[in-house]
Amino acid sequence: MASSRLERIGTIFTRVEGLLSRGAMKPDDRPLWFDVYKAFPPITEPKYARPNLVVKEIRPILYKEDVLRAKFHSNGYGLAPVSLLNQSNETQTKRLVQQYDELKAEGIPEDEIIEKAAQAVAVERHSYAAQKLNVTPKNPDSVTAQVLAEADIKNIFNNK
Amino acid sequence: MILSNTGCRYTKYGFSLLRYTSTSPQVIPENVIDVQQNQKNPLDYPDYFGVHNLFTVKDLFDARVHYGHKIGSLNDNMRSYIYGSRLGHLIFDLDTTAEHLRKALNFTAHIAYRGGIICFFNRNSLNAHIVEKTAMECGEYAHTRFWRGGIFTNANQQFGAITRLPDLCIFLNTQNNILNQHTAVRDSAKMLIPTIGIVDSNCNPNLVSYPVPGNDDSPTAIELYCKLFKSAIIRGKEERRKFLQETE
Repeated sequence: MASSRLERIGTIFTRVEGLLSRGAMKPDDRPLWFDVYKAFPPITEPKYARPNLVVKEIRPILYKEDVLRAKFHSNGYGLAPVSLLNQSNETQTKRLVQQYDELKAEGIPEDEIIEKAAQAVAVERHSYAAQKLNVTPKNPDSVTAQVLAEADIKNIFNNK
Repeated sequence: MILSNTGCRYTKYGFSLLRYTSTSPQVIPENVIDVQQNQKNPLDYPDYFGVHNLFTVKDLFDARVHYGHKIGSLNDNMRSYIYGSRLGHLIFDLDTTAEHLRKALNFTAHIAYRGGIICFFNRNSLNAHIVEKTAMECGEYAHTRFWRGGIFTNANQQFGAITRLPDLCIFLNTQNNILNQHTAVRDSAKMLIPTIGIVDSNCNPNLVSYPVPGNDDSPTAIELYCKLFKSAIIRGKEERRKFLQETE
């Protein structure tokens, strides 16, 4: 069966179309995808040497609260561990900005807010971590739950 | 009228799903013409398999599809798909991504409907297992290992027999490593095989027939793409099964 391997010339569609129109490829031998491609062509033609006509500038994405984020970061409060498995957790900076807005609404002066917001978020994280430690197992009678109840994770490296 | 023996196959509803459909004139009994008018051709519908409702832009966002690489590694051909740069990291325009992805899913479903062979590709070892599992679950093929040159271009010699190549290649990442494009992208174009590819901001989308701009590294994103392509293929195959049952 005829085919054209010159992938840099035209597209797969135009090459097959050329073979069909000139009779090198029988209509019965046309590829399975040909009709589908014809009915639903791609948004841009997949040509190898396609000129990049639209030179689009890459614009920066900035937000108003970036000023606040920068303030928290420059004081060293911005970074904290993030769990990538948990989608519902909010990041440290997001909590800080939320806390900032709350404190500002309460009427606390600007120079104190940063420290206070950072403290509040730190307390929140500690209480959350403490909560996580005291998880009660779903099935208290299981072997796993018994082993975990006896385990002393904090002193795991101490010599007895 | 004497029918020539090339492709003049009796088709009950006026069109055949088999690979070699006829275009030569043939005698069609009158009752078949009636049925033909009632029977719907999937290619006449903009979204016959309903792949539009498989996902929303929010799903893409939650799966972290919008994250590109850093701005220094940007391929100039990807510029039109970029929304902007967030402190040096490129962010994809998810509306464009959704449009491209829906087009790709529709194409996949149609190929599955026509009984085409679909092959998944991925060279990121972190995501290799999920890609192979997806291919297995929808009854298709995957190639996630080292690509020996000539698997497509020299197939008959390599396998020692006439080889049927896939009818659609889906690349979940189009790069071998951070520098080189997967050879199969070029070889598919050579062998007249259409390709669908997830192209990140450092990839070249030019040879990919249906490029989908988006993150090709995160496991969550790959998981989403796998889920979507799997359901598109399953929908296509389900319709095919129904069609074949009706014609029997």
